[in-house]
Amino acid sequence: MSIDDVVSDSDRKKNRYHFDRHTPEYRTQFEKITEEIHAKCPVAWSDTYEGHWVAGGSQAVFELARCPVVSNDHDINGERQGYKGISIPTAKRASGVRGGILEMDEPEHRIYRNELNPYLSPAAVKRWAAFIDDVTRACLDEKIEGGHIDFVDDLANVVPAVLTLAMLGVPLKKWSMYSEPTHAALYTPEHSPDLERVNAMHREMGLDLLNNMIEIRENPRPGIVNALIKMRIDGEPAPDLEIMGNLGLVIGGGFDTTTALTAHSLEWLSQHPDERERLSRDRDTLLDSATEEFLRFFTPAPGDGRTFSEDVEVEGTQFKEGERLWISWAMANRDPSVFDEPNKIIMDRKGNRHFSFGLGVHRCVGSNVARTVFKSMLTAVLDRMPDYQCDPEGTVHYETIGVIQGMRNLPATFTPGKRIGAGLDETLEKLQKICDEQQLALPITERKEAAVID
Amino acid sequence: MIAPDSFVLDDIEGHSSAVSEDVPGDQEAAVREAAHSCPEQAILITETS
Repeated sequence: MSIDDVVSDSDRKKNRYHFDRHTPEYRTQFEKITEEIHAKCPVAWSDTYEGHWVAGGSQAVFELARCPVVSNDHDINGERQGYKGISIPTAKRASGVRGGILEMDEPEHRIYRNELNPYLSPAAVKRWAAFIDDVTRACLDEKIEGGHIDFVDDLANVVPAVLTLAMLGVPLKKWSMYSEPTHAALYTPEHSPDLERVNAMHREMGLDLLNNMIEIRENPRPGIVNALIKMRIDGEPAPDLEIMGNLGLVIGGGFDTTTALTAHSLEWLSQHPDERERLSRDRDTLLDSATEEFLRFFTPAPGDGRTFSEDVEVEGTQFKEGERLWISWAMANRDPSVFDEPNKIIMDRKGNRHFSFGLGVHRCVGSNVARTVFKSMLTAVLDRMPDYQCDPEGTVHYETIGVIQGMRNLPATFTPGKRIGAGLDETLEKLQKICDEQQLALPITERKEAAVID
Repeated sequence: MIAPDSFVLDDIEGHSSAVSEDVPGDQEAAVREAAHSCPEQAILITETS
């Protein structure tokens, strides 16, 4: 008998909390629930979704996210230990597909991640700055004369999607075919009558992605798709399903998260016009820290699921192999032991070691894309629509924030201004040519120069 | 980056590393803030007298 057997389950799970992050109440009661969890139990057992641990205290989150026996693996075909990856509960839509590197352990994770890095590192992303600014400009030009915009539909959904497709090597004009289902899948509950339509759009997107993969395999063109096709593991090409899983992850990670961050930040700045003016005026010193603070406070991706791959004790709690764990970045981000006045946005916050991109080997590979795209959209709005006012009546937050803390609509009015360039379609045609001629989607190892947009 | 003069980012991996062993006096405050803000708590400052 090992010592573990002596400790009964009820002892191990003495910190209990009924935690259901998929209910609308979790969104409305987030601060209260978070405070309770921090006060009572940095790690708690919840009976919801077949039972799982919930880590909400910053120290527990820090240790568990970096713990070598905490697994991300999603074993779709029951070839390993049958672990279920990062979703709790397993989404029906995601049950048959592995979510790329986010649902892999080492050494497999590292092999694929090394292929993505040269497209997404800070230096690699910097090359796209002029491209990103031009897409942002075109989005605002579409609306600037009318004095009315929906910041979600007309801006924050567009720029991340267009850039992600450009980096993948998928034609830019297809952005809405990719953006709509990705966005809708996150706000459409599994019991919704609209689910079938959303799933159909999702299938159409998947098919187009598959066709792009086949096309690029026959006639290579630069981008992440090409990198995943060309890579070799022990001399063998990566399986198509793993390529598709990683492409799905880049799309899912690249689209709605930055959208959510931008929409929430713009909404808050509309509610706090003095802070908006200050941010615009002092952006040279304030933009970077404000960006990190918005990331902390709004935590677009609120957490990730994991599975313990061995019995282990962390921060005084004993965990058993096979048990599921929810690591809450969003709750760790409100821990008063790390963040003074955690429920307040302080744009020049110091020591902001927030958890919004995760921690450890699975730390968000697209964090630099997110920051760059967010800053482009935010500063362009501050420059061109400085007096915008969001309309609370038309604002629609996601009903639940279990997967992404996002927004469906954020309509706003502003004093109309003048267009300074072409509209979106024309701009995307021009940018497609530039992508092709300048080979913008090459990795940083093959192209160092920044995009030149005339 | 909080202390862009004291750290350098790898082009391909994006990993950050210190540009020198010793932190110049005018960089001290920025480097302390960088260590304080590092999400991975990977920056260790050793005091010399």
